[in-house]
Amino acid sequence: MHHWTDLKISNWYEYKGNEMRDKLDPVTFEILRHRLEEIVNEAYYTMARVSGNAIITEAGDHEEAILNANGDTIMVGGGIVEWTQCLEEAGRYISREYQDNPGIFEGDQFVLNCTEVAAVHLMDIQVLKPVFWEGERFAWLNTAGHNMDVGGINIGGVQIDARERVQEGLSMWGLKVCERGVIRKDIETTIKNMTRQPELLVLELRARMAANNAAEKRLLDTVREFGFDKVMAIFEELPRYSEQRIRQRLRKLPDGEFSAVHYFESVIESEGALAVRCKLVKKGDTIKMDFTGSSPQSKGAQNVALPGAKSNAECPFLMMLAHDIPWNYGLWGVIEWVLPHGSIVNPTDDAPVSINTPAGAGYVTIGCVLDCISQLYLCSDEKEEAMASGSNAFNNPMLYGSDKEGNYFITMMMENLICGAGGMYHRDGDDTCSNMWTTKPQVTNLERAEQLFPWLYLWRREALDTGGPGKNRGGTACMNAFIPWKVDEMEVHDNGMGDTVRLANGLAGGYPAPNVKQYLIRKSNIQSMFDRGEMPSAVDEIEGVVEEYGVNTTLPFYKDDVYAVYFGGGGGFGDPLERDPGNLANDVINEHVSVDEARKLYGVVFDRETLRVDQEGTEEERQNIRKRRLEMAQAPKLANGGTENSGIELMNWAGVISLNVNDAGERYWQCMKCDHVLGDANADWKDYTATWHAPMRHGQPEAYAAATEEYHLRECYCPNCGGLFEVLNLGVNDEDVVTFRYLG
Amino acid sequence: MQYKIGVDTGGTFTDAVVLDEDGNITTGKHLTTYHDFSEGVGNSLAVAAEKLSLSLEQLLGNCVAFAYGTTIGTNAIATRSGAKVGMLTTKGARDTIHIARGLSRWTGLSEAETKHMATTIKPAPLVPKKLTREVRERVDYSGSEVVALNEDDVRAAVAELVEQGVESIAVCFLWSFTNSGHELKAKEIVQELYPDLYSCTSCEVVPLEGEYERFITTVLDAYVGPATLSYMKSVSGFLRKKGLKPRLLLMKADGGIAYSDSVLPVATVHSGPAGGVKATQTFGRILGYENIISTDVGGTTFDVSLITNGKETFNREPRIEKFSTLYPTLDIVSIGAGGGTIVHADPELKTLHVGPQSAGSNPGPACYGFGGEQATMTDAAVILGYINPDYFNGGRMALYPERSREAFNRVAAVMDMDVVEVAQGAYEIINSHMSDLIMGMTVRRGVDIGNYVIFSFGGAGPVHVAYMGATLGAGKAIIPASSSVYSALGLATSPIGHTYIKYDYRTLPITAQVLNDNIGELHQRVKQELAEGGVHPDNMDIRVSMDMKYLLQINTVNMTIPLKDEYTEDDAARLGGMFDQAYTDLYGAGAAYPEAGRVISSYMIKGEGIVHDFAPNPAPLAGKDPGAGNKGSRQAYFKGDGFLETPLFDFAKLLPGNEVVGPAIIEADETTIVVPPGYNASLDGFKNIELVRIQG
Repeated sequence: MHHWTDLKISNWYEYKGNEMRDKLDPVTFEILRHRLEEIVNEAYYTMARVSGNAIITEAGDHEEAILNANGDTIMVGGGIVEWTQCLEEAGRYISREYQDNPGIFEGDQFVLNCTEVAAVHLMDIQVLKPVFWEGERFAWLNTAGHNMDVGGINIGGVQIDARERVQEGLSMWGLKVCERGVIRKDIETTIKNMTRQPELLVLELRARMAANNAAEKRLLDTVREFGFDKVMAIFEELPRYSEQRIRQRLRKLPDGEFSAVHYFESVIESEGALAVRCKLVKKGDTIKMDFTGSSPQSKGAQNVALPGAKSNAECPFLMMLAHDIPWNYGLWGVIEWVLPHGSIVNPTDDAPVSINTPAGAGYVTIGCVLDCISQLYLCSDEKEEAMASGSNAFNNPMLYGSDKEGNYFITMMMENLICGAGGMYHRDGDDTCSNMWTTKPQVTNLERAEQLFPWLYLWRREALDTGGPGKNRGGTACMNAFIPWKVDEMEVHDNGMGDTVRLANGLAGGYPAPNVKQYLIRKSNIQSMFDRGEMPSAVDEIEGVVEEYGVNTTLPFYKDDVYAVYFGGGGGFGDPLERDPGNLANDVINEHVSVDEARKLYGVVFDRETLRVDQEGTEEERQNIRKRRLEMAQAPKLANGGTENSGIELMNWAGVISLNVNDAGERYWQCMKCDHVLGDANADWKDYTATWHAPMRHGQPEAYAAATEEYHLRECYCPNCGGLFEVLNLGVNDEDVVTFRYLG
Repeated sequence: MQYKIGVDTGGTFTDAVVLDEDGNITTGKHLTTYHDFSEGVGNSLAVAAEKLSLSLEQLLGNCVAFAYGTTIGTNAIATRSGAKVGMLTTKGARDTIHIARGLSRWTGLSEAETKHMATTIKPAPLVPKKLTREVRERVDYSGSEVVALNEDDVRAAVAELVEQGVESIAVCFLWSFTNSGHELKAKEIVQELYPDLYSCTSCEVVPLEGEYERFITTVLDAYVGPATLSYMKSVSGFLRKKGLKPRLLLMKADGGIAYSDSVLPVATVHSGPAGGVKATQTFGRILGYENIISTDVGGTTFDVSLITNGKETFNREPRIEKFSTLYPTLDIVSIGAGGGTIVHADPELKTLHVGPQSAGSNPGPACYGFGGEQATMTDAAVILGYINPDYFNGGRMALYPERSREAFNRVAAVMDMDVVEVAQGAYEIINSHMSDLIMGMTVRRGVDIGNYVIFSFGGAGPVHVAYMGATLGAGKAIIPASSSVYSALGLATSPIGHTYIKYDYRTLPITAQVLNDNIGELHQRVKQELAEGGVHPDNMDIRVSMDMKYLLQINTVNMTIPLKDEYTEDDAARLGGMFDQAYTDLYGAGAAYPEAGRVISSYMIKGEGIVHDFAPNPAPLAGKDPGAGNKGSRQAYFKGDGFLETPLFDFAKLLPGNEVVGPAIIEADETTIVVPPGYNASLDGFKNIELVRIQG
């Protein structure tokens, strides 16, 4: 088996005279690289067209790969990027374990979804097909997609009540579902009868097989066209190429340590909040991802098993550092891992894991690594690559029951995928765009949903004030409301996070996005409103018994009840007091920010009648807020070292703080907002800042704020001008996080 | 003598093609006149008229069919210069076009671009929220009214929007395709209040499920509507004044031409490439090719479309900019590959890449001498001896071959390769990228490429065409003679065509009655439209298809069924089996899963008919000897052979029936045809070049 440590690092130049260059000249290399990309795309589009599952066809929750004979990735396509390494682990496992018994033959296809080996959770079902040339296996094709129900203790795959891995449902370790081209009836029948959606599962398995078949045909055509040796040569060369490219990119970025922590609510009430902590150390052309300090494993199903944890962590790595490099095992060679055993990011094999994505440690791991890589970029010359977290606070409702024709249905609402993107160094985060960790996601039209399922929407809109405040605002999230339609009842099984903790972190002084809010209005007057020709556009326009409830709940949902949810948007970037009032005027006109919150969060004062910015009032309000900040804050830990500003800038972080050196060679931190010298760079810059442990409800509209004392925000200000450097999302007694340590 | 005329107003030139009743083709070309497009139309027609020794008035006076192609709608969207649109929508659905199903961040990007999260960005909305008004009304999935239309809301909203200066109104209600009453009533109110204001409804523009796509298509119609209508009025007024008698026909993006006063403005958006595909279809029919891969290589893109069994294929959810729409267009797939495509090398890793970036036309390829320093595919063609620097664009544009060499020298130095080796390598790489796109299209549509012939047009296509299909098994290529006015030729020769769609979601089995009701309604409508266009019933070519899927699936497969005046219960009962077969043909054995149940969601009818069948007429063939066209020779590079002294031919002087044996290069005004060793190029009676691989 290949492993990255065995790789010889080389390039075309060094290859001159080498056997490989004879086998594969640069022109053929480029032609075959493009061809392999096309083959993977072929599988992607076949899967997207054939699947019967909205999570695949619409949300884009699938990914395809070409693996070598040993199961290592050679080319992975787009799709749901957080599975990339899982696709490889599955190939390696089957190659290793089943070579002799039951054997691997031409025409076979294997199905695997077990989280111990290679899946984020059991719903992610992979089908792998070995590819042969003249009797020799030279490749695997792997098509993976999210399925709905896989049996288990809860409906729809998301096992809130599971306390052991075995309660999570159908776990397949590489079953040969197709043998020498023939679907095995015994296997297919057994699998399908272990779920609550047998027909859908069969259709889904066939979709994966069809995708593998389409890709296999083109791969074999390629072997016929270029010869077996050339295809083998590209299989060897492409990972080398990717590894060199990623090392090249890393070398151009500064060295340093970048840390982040993200909290989320445990489904086990007694556990309170759980945290994923990541320290990313970038040195030369390598990175280390160290998750030491993450919470011990949970009793509930929000843990992420090792293959899933790595795959999730690699997701921002791929999309932020390797987006233009072929995705394959060559990239893993630059990463060193520290994932403590027994923690929520590497639990014991018996720990349940099904909710880790999208409402647990898996998804949060992505946010943590995103923060770290963004901090790395903010210390570099490529600051426009940095991005605050997109929507992370959401509810992911599964609905099930009898549909309008009396057939049993299970489905997942997808509005949580209409995310607000995180604010960036140079622009706002996109409003209601889509999940950033899938390359091509889309949400079902509400007409399609109403056609297929028994409900009627009251609204699906952009939700006011849901973007994290910042100089560059976090994107607005979505809100929606619906009622059962043509049925008397169904059940809602919620899973989510962010109703008490704020999950989409801001960057460089931007605030995290608000909390998620959800309501059930029991015994509403909606039908009589309709009869009167009235249609509500907000929860408070509907009469009934309003129940506000937390994420991770199962509730009956009756005729005349109204279900309404407001999601959290993207984190903000930069101090909101620096947002251009003109941009805020557009935000108000376009209903992204309310006039009240514009004043409270951004210090921009509007004339309510004309919606014109009151320039003087704004200036005064902003000065007052800066003053208030310093009044609330504790004095800096360290006093200013007294260095004068006469040096040159060595680097700056986010255009907010610079690291300067003077003629005497002394290094010091300086506030770029007011040029105030913070102090000697031998200490962390935060030691020179005024800090306020703000309540979690600060920096968001009251309407969304959760009443909790369990967490707080830690805000760091320039002690001179009151400018906001950073807002961190922390537990009450949590130690601080060293956001970045620049090492040149 | 009677004439059929096609005029295509493009970004640079306005092209005219005149086809007389004997089948003779006369062309005219003139610069497009942006201050008044009619002038360019008149000028190009005057050029053609002069060749026929006619005045413009005489030519137009004897014209029996005049088809026009315009990019006005496409340009209005590209430059964001369309109308100020007001939108009326169902309460609760205002943000539909803003949320855009979350897809507008990435749609329209290449695979590589979608992976670069930090650079994906949503487009600015076409209608801001302040110009969108919600009205109280609601219909459910079955078409039942949930909340009655509040007409006062409509009146108030329209008045407010007009107050704000809107120039058109798009009426977009949920489920209007199952119950159009509310939308039509709202439109009636708009028209009653403001009779001169352009308004449209989503149920009339595209009566299909999917509110985002339906709404945005309707908004686009309102966006391009006022400008398109006034433009067409001006052009047709001009032509009438000059003596044109028949009503003006307009090319639509679905490849049909129809009377301009009955065409939805949004239907003309992206109609530009349709003319070329229709010309390919027409010549395919004349030359006896049923299955064609229509390819167009310009400066920046490579466009491919398939014609199967003589019929074009449709894209049912075409993208316009970053909007995903529902008005069907011809299925044309593009990649960034053309004459301006940039060749670059990684200095550290010594890898060679071609595109997708393009130098465009300004600065363009290095050899243009406009300051471009990057090596492009046009530069590669100069170095390889394919393009004659002294006869580019018919000798009207001087090229600087030394700049091509300088640009490629820089790449070659990085690669530690010879300059010709790099140029040849880039040529091979781009040919392979083109082949990959063609292959992907045929595989995805479940057709065997071996049964297809490639048609190649666009300035840069014939330089590459010999290698596009070579490895794929498509052994023959046609380079049309009139490729410089190809779209206009398509306009002059296209049949009148109409496409209609009807939504009716049902699970199989269905009765013959359902089938007859749905198809009967569409059939009557299309027959009537064609008859009104002057098509004789015997000349009507009507195809019917249905969108079907297995019950649990999301996406549908379009299945063609035979057209009948009356379907029987047996016909209805056979639909399931037909669908399983069509599905298996597309996705392979074992993919179909009938146990899940089968659904029909909508019906589509496409009717076409020729009114005046002036078939282009071939000239008599001369001998095979191409001697008359010989214009010397030069060194050109062919892989495996190196530089060969290669005979050159002047296309203008070659005669029908001549045969050119490769290696050879044929130089035409707007393009260069590379005939590699082992290939034969023969000219048919229209002077189309048939390029065939005879060995190797």
